[in-house]
Amino acid sequence: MGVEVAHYAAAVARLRDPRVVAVAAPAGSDLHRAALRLADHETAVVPRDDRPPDGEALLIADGDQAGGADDPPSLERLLTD
Amino acid sequence: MDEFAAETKVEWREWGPEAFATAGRAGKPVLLALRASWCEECHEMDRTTYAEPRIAANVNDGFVPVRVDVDRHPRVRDRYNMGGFPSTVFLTPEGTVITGATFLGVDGFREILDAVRRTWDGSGLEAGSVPRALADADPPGGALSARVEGHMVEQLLAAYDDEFGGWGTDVKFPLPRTVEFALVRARDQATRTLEAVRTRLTDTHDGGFYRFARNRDWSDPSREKLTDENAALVRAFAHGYRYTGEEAYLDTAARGVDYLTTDLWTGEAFAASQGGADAYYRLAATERADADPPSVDDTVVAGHNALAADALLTVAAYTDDERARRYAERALDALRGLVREDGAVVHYRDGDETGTAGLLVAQARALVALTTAGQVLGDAGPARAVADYTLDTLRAESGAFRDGPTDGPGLCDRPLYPLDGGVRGRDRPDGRRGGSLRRGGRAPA
Repeated sequence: MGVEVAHYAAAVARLRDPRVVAVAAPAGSDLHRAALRLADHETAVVPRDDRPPDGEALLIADGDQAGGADDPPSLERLLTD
Repeated sequence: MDEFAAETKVEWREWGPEAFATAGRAGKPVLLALRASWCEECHEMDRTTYAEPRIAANVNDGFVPVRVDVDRHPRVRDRYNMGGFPSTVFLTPEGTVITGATFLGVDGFREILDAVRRTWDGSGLEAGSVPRALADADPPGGALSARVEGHMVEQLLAAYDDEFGGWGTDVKFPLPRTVEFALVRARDQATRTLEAVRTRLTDTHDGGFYRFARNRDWSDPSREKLTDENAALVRAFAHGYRYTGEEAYLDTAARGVDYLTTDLWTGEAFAASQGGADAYYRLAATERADADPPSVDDTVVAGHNALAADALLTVAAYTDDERARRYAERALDALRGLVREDGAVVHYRDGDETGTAGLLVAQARALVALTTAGQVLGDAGPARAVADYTLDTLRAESGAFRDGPTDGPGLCDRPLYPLDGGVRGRDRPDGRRGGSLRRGGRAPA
């Protein structure tokens, strides 16, 4: 399997260790836009999610809650830790 | 039939059961010409070999000539590709392969015609064989191990060209998905490759990315511009900007968006490709303004529009660029227009003509676009229906996916399990676009 199919390896890595930033705010809100910019490109961002409390974001790593944030600066701290 | 067919003297037929039935009744082999609208060597063969009166007469007399656009018929492409385009393939009326080649000039073509005729007269249907990848189509399967990622990182290190950037030491393809993989695992390789693509593969005058460079140092570009490849590069540059803050990457992505939304915009969707006529690109910038640009193939391909929407949404997510978002939404509209209620994606539309529904490449790319739309716009549209259709109709027991429905003429009724639709059509090291189905060759990974 050569470098031309690195995309496959990326998909495997994402499936083995899925990371999601769930945002309990609508698409286009400040917190959602911050999540899109801050999450790395192999992390999924889900707007209008009901897992975090209203107006907050939740990092979910491989199904487990890995921290929350209630505004863009705290989300940045969470995702760059 | 495409506009370039008229430059030949061959009486081409469309791909379909009728052509094979005719061949069977007449006891003649099929001549299958695989071509693409952006493919300069294909046009060259039309203007020379196929325009030569005696060759054309020979073909019209002794063969059933069939002409296939590989962008519209990827299943035919992946079963009969001889290692580049044009591919010139001789088939029995049952669709098995007698022999084949890529570009053929007048003399080479004459020789192969004689050889095929002798083989056919001597052996008949026995002369044909099934390419190995189709003959033992054991679908890949098994658990996903951590080794996959580690192995790929080793591959990157082994194949990286430390001197010029990019991977490999022969022709240089931009490999945008490999760049994205490397961004988080071998950052320096990714950024140096982006830099090489930015400085060597972009058309600084008209915009857009050329398809590949023929030399290790990224010189001598093959100048056709494909919408799906351009979109994938726009996304890779956007991600590159996300990781580095490098404005030049954002600027390159923005210029890619400019090109896609002007030269390749049909008014309602993204076109498929623009040809790479060298004569045009050799003109000075001032002369180009007065010259006709290479022709644009304005077929609306579902997968191309999907990747364009995905790339534009990525740019919009990082920059709040309104125009990128607007065109992404329009491309998503075009894509949704090609998604049937049952979740099957129609491969392409050109006026009233539509392509096959339910090809893996169209399903997968539509899902890329729709899931990105879900993340950025909050609306994944028919993503679930598209995913369900893909799982229900294309997944084999092993978990692997077939490349499309298992029916159709020729060898289309034999299942093929590609590792990556985009990879299977990847060019071979000789610089021609090609797959791995050359007779006796290795099966696709």
